[in-house]
Amino acid sequence: MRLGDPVIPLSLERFRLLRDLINRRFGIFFSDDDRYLVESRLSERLIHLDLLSFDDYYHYLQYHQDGEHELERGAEILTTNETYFFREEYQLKAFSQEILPELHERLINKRRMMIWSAGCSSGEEAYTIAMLVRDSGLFHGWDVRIFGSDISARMLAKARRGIFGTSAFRATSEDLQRRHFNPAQGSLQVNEDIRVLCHFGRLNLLDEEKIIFVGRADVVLCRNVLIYFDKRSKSRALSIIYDRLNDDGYLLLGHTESLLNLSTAFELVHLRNDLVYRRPKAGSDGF
Amino acid sequence: MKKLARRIADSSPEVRRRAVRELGAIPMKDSIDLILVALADDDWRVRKETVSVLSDVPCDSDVVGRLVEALVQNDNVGLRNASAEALATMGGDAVTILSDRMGSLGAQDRKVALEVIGRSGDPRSGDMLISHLKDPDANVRVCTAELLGEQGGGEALDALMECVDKSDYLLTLAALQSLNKLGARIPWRKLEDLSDDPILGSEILFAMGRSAQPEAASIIVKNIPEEPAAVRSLELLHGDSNRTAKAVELALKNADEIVHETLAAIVSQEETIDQRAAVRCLMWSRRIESLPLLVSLVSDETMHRVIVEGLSDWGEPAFAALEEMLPTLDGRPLASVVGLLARILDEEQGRSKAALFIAYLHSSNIAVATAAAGAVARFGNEGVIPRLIEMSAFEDKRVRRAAGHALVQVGCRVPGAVRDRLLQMEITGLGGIEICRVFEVVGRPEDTSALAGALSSPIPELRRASLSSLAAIAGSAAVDTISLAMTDEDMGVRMAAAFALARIGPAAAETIVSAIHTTQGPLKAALVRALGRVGHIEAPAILKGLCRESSEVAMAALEAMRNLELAPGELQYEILNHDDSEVVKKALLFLGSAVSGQRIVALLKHPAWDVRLAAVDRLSFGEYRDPEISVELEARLRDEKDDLVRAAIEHALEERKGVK
Ligand SMILES: C[S@@+](CC[C@H](N)C(=O)[O-])C[C@H]1O[C@@H](n2cnc3c(N)ncnc32)[C@H](O)[C@@H]1O
Repeated sequence: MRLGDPVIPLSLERFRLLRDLINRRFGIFFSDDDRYLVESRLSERLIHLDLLSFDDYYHYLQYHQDGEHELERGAEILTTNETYFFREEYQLKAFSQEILPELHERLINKRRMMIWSAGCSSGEEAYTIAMLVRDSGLFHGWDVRIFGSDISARMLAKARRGIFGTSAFRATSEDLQRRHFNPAQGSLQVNEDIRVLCHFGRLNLLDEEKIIFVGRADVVLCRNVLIYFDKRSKSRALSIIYDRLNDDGYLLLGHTESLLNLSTAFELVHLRNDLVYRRPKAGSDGF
Repeated sequence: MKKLARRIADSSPEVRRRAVRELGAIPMKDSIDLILVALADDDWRVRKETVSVLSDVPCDSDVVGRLVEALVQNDNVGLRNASAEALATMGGDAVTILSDRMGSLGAQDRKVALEVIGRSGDPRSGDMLISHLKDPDANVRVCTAELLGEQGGGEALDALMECVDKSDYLLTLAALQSLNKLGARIPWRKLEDLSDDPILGSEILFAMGRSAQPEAASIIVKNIPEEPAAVRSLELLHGDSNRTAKAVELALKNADEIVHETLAAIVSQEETIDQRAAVRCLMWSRRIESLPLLVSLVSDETMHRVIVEGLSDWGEPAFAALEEMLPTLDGRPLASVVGLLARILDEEQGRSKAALFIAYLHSSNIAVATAAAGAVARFGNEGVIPRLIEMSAFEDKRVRRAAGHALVQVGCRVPGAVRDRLLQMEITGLGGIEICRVFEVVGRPEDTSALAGALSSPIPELRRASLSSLAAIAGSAAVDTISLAMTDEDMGVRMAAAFALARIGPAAAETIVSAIHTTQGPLKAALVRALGRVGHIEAPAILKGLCRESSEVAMAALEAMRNLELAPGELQYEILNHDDSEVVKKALLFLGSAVSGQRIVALLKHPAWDVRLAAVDRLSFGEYRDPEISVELEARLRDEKDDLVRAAIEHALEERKGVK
């Protein structure tokens, strides 16, 4: 939406209907205060679809054959995709110095490791993890798969291209930049040896059916995603993630997030560098 | 009646036409006067309607007699043609009256009468026509010969054959035409007699083409400058036997220069039916001088095969001449010759010229390099790999494809060398697509990491190609990775993932089954087909659930059932109740005798006529012997409104009687 584009008025009542639609499907929740944000961002979609009012838009979402896809596009515009390389240093330190060595030991027989970045946005998180895996020097010749998923096709396309501008590097040392990136089109592109570890896919965290394609993960990063969800959706998402984790598999949340009052299924693990969650071995109580 | 008469004279053709329709309901003896008026109408639609009324109602001999009168009058051509048409539809009666009257008719009327007889389909018509081959009037004889050419049959052929002699040129020409049309073979001595007659021209040459006589070759060849169409008769003659083929080739080799010039001229005229035949003649004459002309045609798809096959038969002289041409050419013509050599040389000859092809592989002209890629696909070894890899990343898609194809072929011969090269490179960009295909042939299970980059490429086509490659080389170890690709935002990639899973086999069954439940539309259909390939213990239950889904999914389920040879009763019941009649028909076809007679009988009342028809067709098979079924068919026949279905039921009942 550009400055000066018209804004189509969204009544509180309609706002709540739309909000609930998005919430049921994707978990993201908007409070009444967000109404004007939703109004101004979604106006672009209405104009694009030649719709005159939010009544029409709601109707479109519900009954048009393309309604499902449109809801995805709407949600895509409304979500925050903010992300950057090497975000949350302490946690990453715990990951590379404590979790990776432990996984190396645990999985040495299978030589397979799967890490899932759920809500990966434009891919910086997944690539960061791939760099840490490579730099650990522990997994040479292993079948390592890092899977980034998001609902935004636009973000996934960016992730696949692997070319990033300066704001993505606000927490990346020059040394890391030099080692893992190459100049491309005036920006920096992630090196091939890192890209080959990463796979991307479009997946709604609440889509219990499609989520099975993820298989089983040894670590799930779901950072700064659930903070936009309401409590019920958070619980649902956590239960889904729980099912996707191997026994003793780790769950890493954003540093402002915790499972307090949400889930008792995970155990809290005190690492030297950070606190993280873990799926207990089978036999312990789950959901 | 008066009213109708007034309307038959109305000024509007549409009013007149409707009036004619109503005339059909009145006994013919009362309406015949008006009918004849209508048959003479100015407007063709009215005449046509009248003919149709006449063919629908029974006519007594009076009526036929009146029509015959109308036929032999000379004032009104429209009336005459319309009555001819009407009489032809009446068959027997008309033929009897016409033959009775023939003696009293003039020549022109006899011709018209014979045309009616010829078209009547009456069994007597052949004999009657044959007798008029001796008609005193020349025009009638010629016309009769033409009519016999349309009718055919053994007796007609014999009679026409009799007419071929020197005594009556016009009749001979007509008889030759008819015999050629019927594909008859005329005895050589007759043709030989006529061979120097200029009027008979191309017809006699065509007849000679069919004569199977080696002597015909030189006569036809000699006549090519006068009758270029004769090239087609040479083609016929050549195809008859080894002896005639040899004779044709020899005659062409010894032919005068003017014959070759004519052939070249025919070849240069584009898109005539004679062009192909003339090209073949040039191939048979094996004259090096024709090579440039032939080469110029290689890129024409319709000629390509003829030329490649023909030149391979020439052997060494052609190869040498083509090679000599090479330095004098560039661009497209050069590419044509390189491509030609790539196809006609055998392995040994090709390998001995490998250096030549490799040189052209490095040509800056894309067409030449592409043609050379075709050659090294057959004759190349390690040496060509780097250049082919380079070409596989070219902008032009045809070059990429040719290079990829060549790499696959070279990979079949020296897999190790190709693989080593591929493992050293990054698989990216559009060129990666070809490389993935090559990997399918030369890759080993431990090479999957080389494909990883392609799997996460921003180019969907490359992701697709890498999935298929991955499935081919890694098999069951690739299931998890392919499963991730089922979440790809590109539909084509998800489809490719479904195909890849099918390719892996039983190890992918679980993933396929879960994926079926989460997808819709074409992707779901692809997964269901995949299930049909790999099988699963729960397949019957899963397929049953799919039988009522959209047509494309139900069709896929049906294919899966067939592949897995699963057709338990409740599954059949579901699929035969699908809303889409195409699905039901396909189910009848696919499930074959697995469907019980009772179930098919139930379909006899299906709302769609095509399903009823398919059901009836199946019941006419010997497998369904239960006499109860015949009773059901008879019952259906009483209610059935659709003509096609009725006819099929009658046929089925006949068949069933035969079986018992
Ligand atoms: C703020 S970004 C976080 C990116 C990254 N994890 C990080 O911490 O830097 C949140 C992402 O979650 C995605 N998201 C929101 N709801 C989602 C859902 N239901 N399923 C999958 N992704 C979702 C958004 O599209 C957005 O790209």
